[in-house]
Amino acid sequence: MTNPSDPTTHPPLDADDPRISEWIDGRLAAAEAAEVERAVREAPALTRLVADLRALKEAARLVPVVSPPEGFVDRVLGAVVSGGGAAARATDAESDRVVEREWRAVEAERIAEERAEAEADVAQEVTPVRQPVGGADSRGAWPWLAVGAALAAGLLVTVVLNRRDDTPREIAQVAAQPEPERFAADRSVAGAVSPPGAPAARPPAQDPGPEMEQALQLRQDQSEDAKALPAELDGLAAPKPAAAAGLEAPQDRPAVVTVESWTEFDRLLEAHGIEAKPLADREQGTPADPSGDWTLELTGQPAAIGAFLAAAGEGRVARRRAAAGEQADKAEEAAANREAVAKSAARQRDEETVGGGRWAAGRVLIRLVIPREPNPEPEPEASRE
Amino acid sequence: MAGQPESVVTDPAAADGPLVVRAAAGDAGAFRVLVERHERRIVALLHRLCGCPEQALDLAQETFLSAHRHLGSFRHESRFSTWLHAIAVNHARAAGRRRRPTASLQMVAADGRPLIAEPAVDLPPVSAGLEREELARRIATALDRLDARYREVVVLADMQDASYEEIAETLDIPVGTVRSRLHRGRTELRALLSTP
Repeated sequence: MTNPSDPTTHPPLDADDPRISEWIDGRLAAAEAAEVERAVREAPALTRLVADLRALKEAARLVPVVSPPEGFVDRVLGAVVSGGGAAARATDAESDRVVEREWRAVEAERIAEERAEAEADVAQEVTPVRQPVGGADSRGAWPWLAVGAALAAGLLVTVVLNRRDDTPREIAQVAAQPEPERFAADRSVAGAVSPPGAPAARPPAQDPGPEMEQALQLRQDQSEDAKALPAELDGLAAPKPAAAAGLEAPQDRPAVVTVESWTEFDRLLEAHGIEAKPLADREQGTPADPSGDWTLELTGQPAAIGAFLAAAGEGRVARRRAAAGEQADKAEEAAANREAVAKSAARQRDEETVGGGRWAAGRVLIRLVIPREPNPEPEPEASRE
Repeated sequence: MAGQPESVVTDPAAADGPLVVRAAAGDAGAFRVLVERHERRIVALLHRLCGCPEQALDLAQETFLSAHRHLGSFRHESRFSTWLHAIAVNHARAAGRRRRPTASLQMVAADGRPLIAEPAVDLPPVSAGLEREELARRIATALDRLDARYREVVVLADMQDASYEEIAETLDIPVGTVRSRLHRGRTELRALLSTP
């Protein structure tokens, strides 16, 4: 008997093992035939099975069969000459068609069964063989690897080419567009809620001489009133026109205006010939932050600014800044503000263009700037002469 | 009636090629020779497959007619006898569809796998006490009850002396399937013979 613990021995032969019939038919190799012979000899049931199958094989040769009658060949050739016995089969044509259909259906079923049986046989017979590295399978996988690599390379190139690089664009925008023009572009995007500082608010060219004189006169006239202000309002140098009663927003000092409508705010700027220049304030937010405060620098004649602030209403001093060192910090701060505004404006434009966002109404901190008197134009040569 | 086994592989079959070519070209004499060479084997095969002598003769005639019609498609990749046997098997299958279905002895396990019928009682060896003529008669009867798939293989292997490879080519199945079907057919036939 075979020893189950011995790996060199084969499992016991089963009665269903096809090798039994192969051994009977003499198709097995010597070694395998000896193995089957030993298994059959050691198992009485297999011994009797083999004896029966041998007897069946011998007896099957003796099964009586009919022999073709005399003239069978002539009958066949006659059918060939007569067109295959078409006349004889004509009566059964319809029946044959039905049988043909049925036969095809059953044949398809049979083929499926045979295929499944063949697959089962193959699965039973074929021993898995380890494929060598780099064998046919790996060669077959090369096209897929090449396709995958090409797709990955294409994806990488696409990502690199379409990578968003904001820095060069911001630099280009800052270099190409001064701040007012950029906000003018923002107006077209923002629609009804226009950002401040539009070109329309640029003051018209006019001679500021009389207004400046009036402002200086007002400053002198109100020096007493300025002394009477609380300490926190000391240093406010802006004139205080009668139209801006209660408004304490002198030059270079922030005032606060609550803007409910940027359109109205813009209209007031334009009506008073005031140029509004947006400044970013790191402490109070930037234009990119709609909830933050705006810081505007208004440039215009004192009387016009006073009238504008009065018209804007609700103006009051928000804070005062120390007079000392303010001018020194102004240039540096302005430069930083311009850069921040440029970047923020670019981002804001992108956001509004893409998302259709709108700036919200909010509080505006206003820094007033009284323009210097323009230099007197040189007289023409002819007039001097 | 009982004759010697007819082998598919015969010496005359090796010389069928030129006759097939001539017959395909319209040489009736060549076709006559082919019919004369193979009529006994084809009739015997069909008789063993369908069990009816008259039907076997009709099917044999249909087989030769089909062969004559399709001689042009014979590619000479196999023996003409093998090709003719395949045509005969197809005609036998078609005839089997027309016949009243017979009860199948095949038993199927719960998982659908066919089971080999084992003798219900301890039978004496089929060869013991049985005359060979009687055994051959019982085999013929049992063949008719055998599943067609197994009957074809058993008939071709044990009655037509076809090799495993010839059977595989005739039935268009793998040799491994021939092995399994032959052994299963033989064991089922043994079980049928042990059934009273």
